Amino acid sequence: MTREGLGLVAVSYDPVPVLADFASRRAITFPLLSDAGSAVIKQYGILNTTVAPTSATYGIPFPGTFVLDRDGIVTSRHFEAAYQERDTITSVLVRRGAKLARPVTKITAPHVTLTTYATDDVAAPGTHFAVVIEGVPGRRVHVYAPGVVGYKPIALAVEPQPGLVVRDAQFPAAEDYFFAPLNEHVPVYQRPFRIVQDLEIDPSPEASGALKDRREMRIAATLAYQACDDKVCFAPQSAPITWTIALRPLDRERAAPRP
Amino acid sequence: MSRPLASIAALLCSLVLISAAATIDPQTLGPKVGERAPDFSLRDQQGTPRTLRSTFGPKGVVLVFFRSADW
Repeated sequence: MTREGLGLVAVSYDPVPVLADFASRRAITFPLLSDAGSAVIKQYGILNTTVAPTSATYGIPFPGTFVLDRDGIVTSRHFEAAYQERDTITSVLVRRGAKLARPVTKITAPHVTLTTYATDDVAAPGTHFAVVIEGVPGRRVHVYAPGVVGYKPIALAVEPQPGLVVRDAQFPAAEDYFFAPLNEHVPVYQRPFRIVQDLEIDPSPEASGALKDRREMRIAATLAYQACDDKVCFAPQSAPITWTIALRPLDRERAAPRP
Repeated sequence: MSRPLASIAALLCSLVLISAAATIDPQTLGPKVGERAPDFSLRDQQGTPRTLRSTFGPKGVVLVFFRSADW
């Protein structure tokens, strides 16, 4: 994130000693700010109003993330309904278009050089992460973008499984390709492109059974596409892809009791 | 709006919010994309006052609101 030129700061309603304890247990060096009394949480309009004012947890926000530019303008934001849900920093960066220094796996596929990685090695129930597929079409090759008619568009299908929520996939904007012999314009990728598929470990009580005692999750998907060069259209392909994510239980550790 | 009126309005709003608790969509709350996030000053884990602005990198900041470090 520092490489992206972004700072990181986290705000909660905890008093300073709780934050100090948490920061030392987790070796956190970025600022954790104490909004005891929740004035800032209220100023931002994100106080969790479903908590009764008499409750010890009154004052908590709806948890969420804002990305601000250098002028303090919100450029993206993310809020979730369930408290366990949160984005990993790496997936926030990837959705912003950042390049991550993650080890990549090569996908064996013709006509396009494909590599992939998951944004995170470890996930817990509620973790939002992503898998990224980067494609580089071969020389003079293009693949068809989503929305194409008459050809097979590139598509990523993640196999459903209990405990995994498959969310949206981001595809880049297509380029227009003019194929003179047929006098047609088609949306394609002929330059390097990147697909970001959002995933989540299901935080619902129903999924906890499926995730119980699991140490890892193998996620399988198929990338379907059709490649053509300026003379020949090749047969549609489908490339199997897998990622393995270590699973950890939801963190329920608390601060040490204060005297 | 005068201050007492504003507080009454705020109270009414929060009553409405509480009654509508089950249907609150947090996506609709807080500064929206394109709006300015207000600056503020709070104490960090060392007890040092920090403004939001002081946490910015050259291109901005990721501002996280989390529930609690205590439970």
